[in-house]
Amino acid sequence: MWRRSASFILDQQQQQKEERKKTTTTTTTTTAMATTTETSSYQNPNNNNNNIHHPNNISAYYQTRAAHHGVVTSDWLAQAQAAVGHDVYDDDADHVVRSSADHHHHPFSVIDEFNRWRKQPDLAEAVAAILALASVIRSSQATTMMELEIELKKASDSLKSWDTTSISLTAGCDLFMRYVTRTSALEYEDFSAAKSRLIERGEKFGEISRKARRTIAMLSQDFIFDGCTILVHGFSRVVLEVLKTAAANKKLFRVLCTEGRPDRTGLRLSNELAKLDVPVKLLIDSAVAYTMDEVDMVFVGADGVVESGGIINMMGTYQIALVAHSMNKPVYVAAESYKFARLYPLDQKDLAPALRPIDFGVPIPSGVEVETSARDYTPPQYLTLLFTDLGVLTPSVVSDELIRLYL
Amino acid sequence: MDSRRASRMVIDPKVRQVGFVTPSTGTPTPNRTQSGPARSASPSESSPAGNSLPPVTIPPRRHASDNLTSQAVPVPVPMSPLRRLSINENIPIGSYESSEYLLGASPMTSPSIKFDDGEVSEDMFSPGKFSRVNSSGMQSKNYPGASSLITVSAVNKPAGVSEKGGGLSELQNEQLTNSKSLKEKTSKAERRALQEAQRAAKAAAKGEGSNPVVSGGPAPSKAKTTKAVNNPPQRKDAVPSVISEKRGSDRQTEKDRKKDVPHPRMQFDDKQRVEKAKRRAVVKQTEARNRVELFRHLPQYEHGTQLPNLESKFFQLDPMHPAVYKVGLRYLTGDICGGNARCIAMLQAFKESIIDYSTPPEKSLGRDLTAKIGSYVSFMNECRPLSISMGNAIRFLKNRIAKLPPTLPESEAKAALQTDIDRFINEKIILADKVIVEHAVTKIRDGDVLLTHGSSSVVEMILLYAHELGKQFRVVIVDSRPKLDGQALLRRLLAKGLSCTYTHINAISYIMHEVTRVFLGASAVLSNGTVYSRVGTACVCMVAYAFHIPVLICCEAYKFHERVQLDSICSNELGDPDIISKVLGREDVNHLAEWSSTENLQLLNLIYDVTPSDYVSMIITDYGMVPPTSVPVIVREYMKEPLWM
Amino acid sequence: MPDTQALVNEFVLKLKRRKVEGSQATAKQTAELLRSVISQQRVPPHTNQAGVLIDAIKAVGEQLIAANPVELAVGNVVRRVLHIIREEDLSLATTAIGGLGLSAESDNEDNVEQDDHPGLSAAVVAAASRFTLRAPSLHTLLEGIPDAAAAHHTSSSGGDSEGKSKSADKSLRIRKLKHDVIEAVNQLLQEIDTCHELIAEQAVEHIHQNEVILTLGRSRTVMEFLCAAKEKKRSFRVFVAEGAPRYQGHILAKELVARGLQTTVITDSAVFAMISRVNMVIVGAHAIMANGGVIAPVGLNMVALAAQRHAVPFVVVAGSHKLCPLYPHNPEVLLNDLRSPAELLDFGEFSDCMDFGSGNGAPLLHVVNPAFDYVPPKLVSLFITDTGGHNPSYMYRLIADYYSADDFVVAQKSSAE
Repeated sequence: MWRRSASFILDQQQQQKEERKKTTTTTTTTTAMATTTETSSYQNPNNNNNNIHHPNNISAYYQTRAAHHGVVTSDWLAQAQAAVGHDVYDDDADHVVRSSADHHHHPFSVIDEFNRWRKQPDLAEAVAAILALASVIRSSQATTMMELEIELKKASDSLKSWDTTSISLTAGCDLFMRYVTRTSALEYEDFSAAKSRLIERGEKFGEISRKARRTIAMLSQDFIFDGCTILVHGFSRVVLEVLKTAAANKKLFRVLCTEGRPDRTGLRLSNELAKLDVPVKLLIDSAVAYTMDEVDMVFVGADGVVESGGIINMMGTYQIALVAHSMNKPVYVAAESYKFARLYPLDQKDLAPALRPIDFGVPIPSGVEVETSARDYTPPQYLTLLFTDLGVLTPSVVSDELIRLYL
Repeated sequence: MDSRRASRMVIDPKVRQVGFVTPSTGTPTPNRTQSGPARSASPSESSPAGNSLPPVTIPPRRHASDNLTSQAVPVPVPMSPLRRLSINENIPIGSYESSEYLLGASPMTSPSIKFDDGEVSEDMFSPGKFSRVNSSGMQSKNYPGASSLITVSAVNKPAGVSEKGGGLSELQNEQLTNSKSLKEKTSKAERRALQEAQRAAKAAAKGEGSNPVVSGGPAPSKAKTTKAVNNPPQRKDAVPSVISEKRGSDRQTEKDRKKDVPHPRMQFDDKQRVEKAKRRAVVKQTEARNRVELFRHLPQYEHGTQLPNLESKFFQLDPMHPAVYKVGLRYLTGDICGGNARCIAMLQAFKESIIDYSTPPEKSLGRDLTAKIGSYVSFMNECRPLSISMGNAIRFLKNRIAKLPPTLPESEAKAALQTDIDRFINEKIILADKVIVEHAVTKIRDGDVLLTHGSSSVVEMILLYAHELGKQFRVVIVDSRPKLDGQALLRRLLAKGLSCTYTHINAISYIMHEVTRVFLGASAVLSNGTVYSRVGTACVCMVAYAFHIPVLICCEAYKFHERVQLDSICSNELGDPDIISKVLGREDVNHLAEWSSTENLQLLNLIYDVTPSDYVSMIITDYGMVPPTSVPVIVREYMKEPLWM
Repeated sequence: MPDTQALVNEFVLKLKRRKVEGSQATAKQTAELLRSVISQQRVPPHTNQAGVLIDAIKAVGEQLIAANPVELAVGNVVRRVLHIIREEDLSLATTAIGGLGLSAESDNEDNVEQDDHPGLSAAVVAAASRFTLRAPSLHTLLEGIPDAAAAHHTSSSGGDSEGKSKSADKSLRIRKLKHDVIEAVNQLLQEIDTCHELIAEQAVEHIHQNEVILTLGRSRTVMEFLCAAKEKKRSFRVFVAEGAPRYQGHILAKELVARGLQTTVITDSAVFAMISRVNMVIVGAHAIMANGGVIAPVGLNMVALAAQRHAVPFVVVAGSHKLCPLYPHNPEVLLNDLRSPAELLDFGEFSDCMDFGSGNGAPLLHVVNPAFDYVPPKLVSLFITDTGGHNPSYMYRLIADYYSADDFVVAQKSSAE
């Protein structure tokens, strides 16, 4: 079943295809069509035509499940059909998926939900995604686990495609989906219990994430010794929590903040730290190498932690890690474990670029290109340790965890 | 200029093939950059200095020697003149050529001299009759007092002895015609004698018996016969060297200095050569029992066995000047250590011997004195392999001798040489140190933690001077076995009120965290930028490099050498292995006490190691602060300077 | 109880005075002490017996660790024993559940099969409790704290499980748990005893004919490793750096020579000079940290750097009792012992220098004599433990097998409580 890695790869591939299709085929697909294609391709999985991929909006998850189980029980199929059957799809341009609630004139958009959660300053994207998914469950009219799963999968897919560049969003969705799958496997019989459990766990996730930050802060305290100088890059809630805890523990340390161009998140961090009476020094991003010899350790957050154990983080992290590595300074990453993502970028261009406008303060001639990517990938060999809520990890543990979760 | 180069093309086409670059260089392309390396010809050399030789580097002084060179051209020997010379000498006298190997550590000394004394005596008394004067460190300043070791009368007396020796050698010169066959026989006999002497417990008595050989009477013992017969080669040396000097003293000493790569050093795994060298050694060494396989090419002798014998010979040793003898013994006992101290001591001894020198009748001062110096050098080399800096100093002195106008009266020549030596000591060592200190102090900031390893006189001066200037800093002294000479430095620094941290080399990674600068001395800096220095230096530099702490090597330019070296194995010096099993000041550590004679156990006491140039941030010399990549430049420019002044 | 306390005190004293030499001896003595603590520990029949044992061990363990925080083997063994108690307790609990006719297969990993057993929740509890023995993982992330805590509680407290398995024979279980734990501790002791042989067995796979091996100082594991290769008719050469200031390399050299190995003693400072002719560096360790870093006798970082420079493999041989589940932070300072300066300097000779004060009372002379070095994981090529060869990056996994996540912070936790 899920334990084969191939399934996963396929899942992702198909998911991508699916997303591409979604953008191209858009709203023309009707419910009826969906139903027919669904049935035609899955009526009898043994007659070899289930490999034909139709332009439908059945989630990749759903398809891979069919493809990889090989044998689809009639029971399962019936449920699936039922689930798709009474679902209304409105895959419009902004990818808002209306879940079954929509059918009952109760507009519910997972994206809106997600955005609503995301506005809370304390919540990370992954947490917001999980909360949004939890509310999908809550408002779901599904009556079987299977229906619910499909519904959730759709919601999470739409969330993911809403922002393909956000790694922690993807990771959060995947994590929750894995949890749902496992719970449904374990509590196959009692749907309502399982559902309420899922909702409960999902809604507790905000707390889990806060707790994760506290755990990370606790774990990292040992590593901050009196008199040390810490270089941080950009703004990261976890890193701030770490430093806050250290300050609360009466540690004496100094922080060098990079400016964090273009959105100057470093200024915000320095602001926060100044409130805590921590000595702070601001650097422009390009002064990192210059100051590195007075630095004792580098602390960075992460947008996502990838399979290799490397991190994807705000632009500039890579060069800081390179400088630190070449000067034998430890680079510590503080990241919650729900940021672990099944991605494996080989180089900088091997991940979807997150673009962002950059204000240079002066008009840029039209012929001049501007690199607007907002983040970079730092390979694991430049990282010393990861502080996560799972404990202090070396980069090699990340893959171990992911393998255990997804295979 | 051009004619000279053309002639060279004629001379060493073979040489071109040996080493450098493309076959096209074989054609007389007037490519200046190639002409440099082509001249430096021995297979052991791959001088990068030469490779990058720009036109500028061809010393203007060469012009003077050009005509000499062209005179030499007709001699169709396809080798560099130095080699040629030795070959010429080899033809008449079979045993000569090995002397150049004997001078392993001072490659540029002229091969024309060898001194031989057939003394074989193996006194097993411990060394140490000499009062141990701790004269390292500040010696460059107080050295001249060193002669206080031995009474003045002792110093003066042997002057006569040496003259007498000269007479004797002349006598022997007449026997020169008893050439090879006799020699071979005797050499066998001598070998036997040697072995016997080594093994027999009564060797000492024998040695005693053979000591008064000076009188030249009939040999009472085998050892004595060997000596008597063995002296002729020495005599012969003088003769060919005279010829060679005549033919091209200028050429040899000046042009070749530039042109010739350093000799391949004596390889002690070459049995024949070792035998030969042994035969003419003043200091009879016993080979160590458990030699380290990897270092077969280096001399590995029993330590502490030679001194009593040499001491007892002090008043009998004919051609050796007492000052030289004394210095040699002090090298042997380790009384004088440290590159500068050893070099100054040697030059002072030479100076004294020059004062006492008088040209024998029918000899020219230039040739005879060179020969004499050469014999002194080989003696010193036997006492302890000469350092590269000493080799450079010797080269300088011989140059000066060769440059003396033949018409100059003896007294003036001697005076000139004495001033030359003084100038060398002053300018190349003492002044150079001052310049280095001035430079280095600018790199010390308040609050610095300076690390040094072992005990370097220059570094000590730097630290003291910086302290005098009122800079606030701390010193970390990293010490290492076997010498533990950091303790002496520690004591001196503490006495001056510097704040010190003392630790051993294993803790280097621990202590390096707090260090901001590493100051080290060097025994030599080779032209590929490697630093040849006290063992452990490479470790210190490596760790400093790993911690990104700048490493500053303080080294006078006279210690630069055009040789290159990649590892510490090929050329090194081995100290007394027994020191390894005994730890100074730690009587509790004697686990190996009864084991040192076990066959499987070898004790290796390396004296030097080689630090790769990438670990070195800066070399501070009297020429300023330069990167290690500029060493070949300095070697080149340095050589160019006439007489290095 | 009082006699165990006396034993504990005695051992604590020994540790404090650094009288116990070598991590193997320490580990062994610690394990023996803990075994006697367990056997002496009275377990009230109606309480959470595993909990009682764990508390007792923790109390003792804390004292021992505090006595010599640098000797990580003590903490390792304490954690191992704690882990043993937890595991034994759990296996008893699961068999008890199995005895009740519930899913006996709950030993299987977590995201179990679709077997539609009726009593799934019990299986879930068992599975979840299994998790708690490991470090938290992404798996359990969403399962959440309350659940895990509950499961944990269940697992560690026999009482709760007993609530479920009412029919289980309590007194039998009490005896059985203790017995099992002592058995397991005995096994641990045996493991510590035999680790040298297990490691040495692998020697032939790593030492080739005519190789040149360099080592520093003395480690029994290294000695046996080399001798094992020698016994297998490999002839090779060993350079022994003497390992100042203790010069234990001399002892090692003596031992090797006695076994007929070609041995050359070199000074520590000659390591860089000699390493270019060395094929492999084999050294012992004081402790191996979770990130693959090594706390090793002083001087080894230098050796490792030199080996790295010349691309010589740097192999660390160590028994598994040296695996420490902690991540090092500032290990050069915190996990170090500064030994007596008298090993470096004869203070009699320097007594006159000691009087030079710079006026403000600060002494001019400091002598630094650390006992250990930290070798970062990137400098280590291979670990050879009694379970085989491992990469530094894999050490965390070995550690997860040996220790329970709850015990990583045994000292802090108990001190906080």
